Amino acid sequence: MQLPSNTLRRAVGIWLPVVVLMTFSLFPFFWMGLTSFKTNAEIYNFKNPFVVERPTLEHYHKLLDETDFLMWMFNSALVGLGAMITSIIAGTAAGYALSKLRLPVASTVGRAILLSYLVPRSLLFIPLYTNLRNLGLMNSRWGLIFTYSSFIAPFCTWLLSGYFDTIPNEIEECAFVDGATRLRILFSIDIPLIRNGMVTAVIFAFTLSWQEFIYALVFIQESTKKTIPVAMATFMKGDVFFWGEIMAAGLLASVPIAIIYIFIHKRLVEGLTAGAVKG
Amino acid sequence: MKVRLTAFAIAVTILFAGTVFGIGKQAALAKAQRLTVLFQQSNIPDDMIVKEYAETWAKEKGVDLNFQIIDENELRSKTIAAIESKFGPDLILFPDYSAYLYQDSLSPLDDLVNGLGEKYGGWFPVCEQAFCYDGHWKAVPYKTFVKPLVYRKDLIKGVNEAVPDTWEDVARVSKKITDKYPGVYGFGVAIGPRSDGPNSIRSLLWSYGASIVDKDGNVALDSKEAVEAFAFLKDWYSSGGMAPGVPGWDDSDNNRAFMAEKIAMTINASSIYDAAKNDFPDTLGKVTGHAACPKGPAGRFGNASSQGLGIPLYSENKELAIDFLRYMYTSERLKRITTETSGGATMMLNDVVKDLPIWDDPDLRALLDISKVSYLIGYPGKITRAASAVRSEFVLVNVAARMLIEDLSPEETVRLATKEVKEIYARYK
Amino acid sequence: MISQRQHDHLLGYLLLIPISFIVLVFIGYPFITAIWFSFTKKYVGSPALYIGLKNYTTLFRSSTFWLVVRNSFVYTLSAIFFKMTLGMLIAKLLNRDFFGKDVVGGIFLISWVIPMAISALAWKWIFQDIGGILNWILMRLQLVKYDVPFLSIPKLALGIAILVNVWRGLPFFALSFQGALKTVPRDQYDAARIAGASPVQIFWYVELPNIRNVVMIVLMLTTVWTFADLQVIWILTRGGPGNLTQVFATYTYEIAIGTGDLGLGITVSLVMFPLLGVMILYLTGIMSKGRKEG
Repeated sequence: MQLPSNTLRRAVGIWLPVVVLMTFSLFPFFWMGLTSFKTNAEIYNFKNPFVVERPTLEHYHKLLDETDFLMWMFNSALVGLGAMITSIIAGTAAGYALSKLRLPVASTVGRAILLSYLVPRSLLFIPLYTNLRNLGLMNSRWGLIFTYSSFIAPFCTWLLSGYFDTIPNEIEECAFVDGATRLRILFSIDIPLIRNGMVTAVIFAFTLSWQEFIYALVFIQESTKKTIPVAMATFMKGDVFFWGEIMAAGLLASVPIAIIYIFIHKRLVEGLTAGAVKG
Repeated sequence: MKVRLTAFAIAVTILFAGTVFGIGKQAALAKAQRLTVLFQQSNIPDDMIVKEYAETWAKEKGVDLNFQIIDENELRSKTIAAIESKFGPDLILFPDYSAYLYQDSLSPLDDLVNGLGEKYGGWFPVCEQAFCYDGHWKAVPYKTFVKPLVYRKDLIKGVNEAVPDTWEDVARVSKKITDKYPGVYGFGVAIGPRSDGPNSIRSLLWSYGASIVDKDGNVALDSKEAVEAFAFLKDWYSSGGMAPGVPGWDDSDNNRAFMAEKIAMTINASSIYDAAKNDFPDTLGKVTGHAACPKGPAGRFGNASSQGLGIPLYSENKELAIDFLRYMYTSERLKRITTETSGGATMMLNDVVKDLPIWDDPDLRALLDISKVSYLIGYPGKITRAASAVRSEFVLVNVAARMLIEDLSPEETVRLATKEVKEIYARYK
Repeated sequence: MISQRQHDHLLGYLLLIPISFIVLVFIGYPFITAIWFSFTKKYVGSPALYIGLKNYTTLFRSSTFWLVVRNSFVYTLSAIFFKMTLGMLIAKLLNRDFFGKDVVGGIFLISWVIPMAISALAWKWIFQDIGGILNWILMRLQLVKYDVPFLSIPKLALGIAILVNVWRGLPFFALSFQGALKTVPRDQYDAARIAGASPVQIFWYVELPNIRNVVMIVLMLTTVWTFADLQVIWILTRGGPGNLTQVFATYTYEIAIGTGDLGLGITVSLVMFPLLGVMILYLTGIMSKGRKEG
């Protein structure tokens, strides 16, 4: 009599919520995928939308052959990588400085960085127009890399300084006694110690960049330099939406990232554990 | 430590160098003979035809051409970026009232435009309204497109009606169609913050004798005629003849609904007709037709969309751009655009479009006829910044949507609309 | 010969250069420019003309503006509430031991990873009146007789925007809380259980105090992100119907890019800034106050 009721409790307490969660979370994704394999006729007219009567790959062909889709993926990846590297460099440097170097201005600077986070992009993009032109960064993926860093680097700084805080000062003292310099300690000791935190920061940085919309919409002037979110939102000819192609693009843009995430999920949680509580 | 610091300094220098290199590269490019064109994406082939003309011209002239075709929202953002930062394309397509807004940043093109007008029998009346300010032409008029009544011939016959001519007819017929055919609504057009809605609302208001301003530009929305127009709209919506989701529709929803055979009539540019004829020539294509935009007690009024090509003051390639325009603006080349788009892109020179063979088809003839009774925002006054703000902030459609979904009275609706319009006009006095 | 301390400080300032450069050039300077623009009449292409507080008074007199304020608060506070509570519940669920929990956790992240533009479009279509899958399901189940225009129904339109925002943001919350919950010391749990505490009491008196820091930071981040959000609403409704889903970001965009009135558009966003600050202080204040009691 013990066993069945335990299983029942597990089923209701764990499996039921999991199924509900998965359905809610994945339904649009599933819907996207389904639509991308339907012919235009079926997209517009369906007896049963869950049944694909004549599956087709035509949208995928159109997407890959007739649009700059691969270019857009490349741009998103390029900008993502660039913004991530810039932000990690800036964030690690600043995070270490604020955490370990006992600067008198540390708390003020920390607060200023956090405050800068409050300034939203939906405000900044207007004055940034002229600024970018003056800097020669208009219509350039470098422009995106720098402007993305402006909201990713502060985030990394906060995150990484929290992780640096978890390193006991004694470890650094020991290395000092042995004659190491600060920077050497940073690179050889500290960074390896917060490996998980770095992974987390890298993943978050890349993701934040991958999804960014308004700067990419407004600062990039050529189709070949567009990133995925903008290309998707503007994927229409006047008032004709190419639903099949949009959904196909959605699938292609999400699946590789999703697979990567499934694999690093465990690492991510561990990484957040270490730094987040202390931060 | 010195080594590390140097390495760090080098990394930072590389980042800066990349930026400087980017600037340098742009400067170098500017020296070659280059023309950059920004064109709006069209759901009919005119954008590709113009691109073809540009490429042919560029090849003959040995010019480096950068011809970009982008959609409406992007075009707006990019035009603003270019005008604000005084750097960007040499030739830009300006839809609707945008040339008016940026007129101070555009080169006057009087010689070119007046010359073309003299040569080809004059421009359509709306051209002067749309692109000529204080006697100076700031853009060359390109095309106009109108939004006819798109309808299903078979379904209208099915309820024993003729093609509806007045708004009342449309409402009555749409109700009959909804009643008779399950799963089909008689009519649907977006009444929300997108492109389709403001056009239909203005058309409705004007045909009832109402308007946002009078011919002197004073706010005149608060009228008995406006109340009548909104009351009509409300009754129509409650009668069930209109699809219930129209306040939430976007520009593609009426296309999709029509193609899915879920609505029988709508007001839309020729994209639906073209799609039906091209994608479903034997079924839907056979029964789709165009009619004049509906008439009201005060007459028939359409809301015209017009596009012009302008050259910003900052451009260093003005002569080059004008040369291209002269190349493109010949009778044959313009005729081809209108013909190949089945009238969807009507050129605005009288002699050019007057006797084209496509007008023999009544469905296409409707487009030309409507363009003769179509007006721009701000009618019966001129285009003003306030009028364009009312349009770009979707005042009328928002208030109409609220009337429909919050069940406001027509009087209340007009009162609200007038209040908001007055606020905007006060902003730009 | 400089002291170690001076050496550290010098190094520290050097290390702060990259982030200072980025923040000053791409946030600080534009922000100052924005503040200046809000006191001017600035149209696209025209020089800025000083007009004092006129932009601000125009806004405060406009009924649409107050609607925008109301919508933004409702949108943000509701979304935050759901994300915090559901995020916590999901975190606890995913921390339990069951077969395939890592795969489930990973799959759950997908909604956060997909570019918002695409998922918003997918959601829009799900709720469509004509051709929408939800209506199809409801009609098949005979729950409704006619197409329901979800995105046109007054309270529902904003509700759907909140739903999409929550759907998309939950993984970030769940992930953050998961990690935080794992650090609660075992012995505190045991002590509570021995004392006979209920699950709710355990959450309130054991878990929450330990993860307070994370909760505060997550709360602050999400408040900023949600209050300034453009994409979800822009794609779902553009701020309609009838401005019922218009929030700060979309309104700024409409005025600045649509009307070309940069001065007024920026003012809309600037007014948001202090409101955002107040909201954050209030929300994090609630959390701190709890800490004193806990």
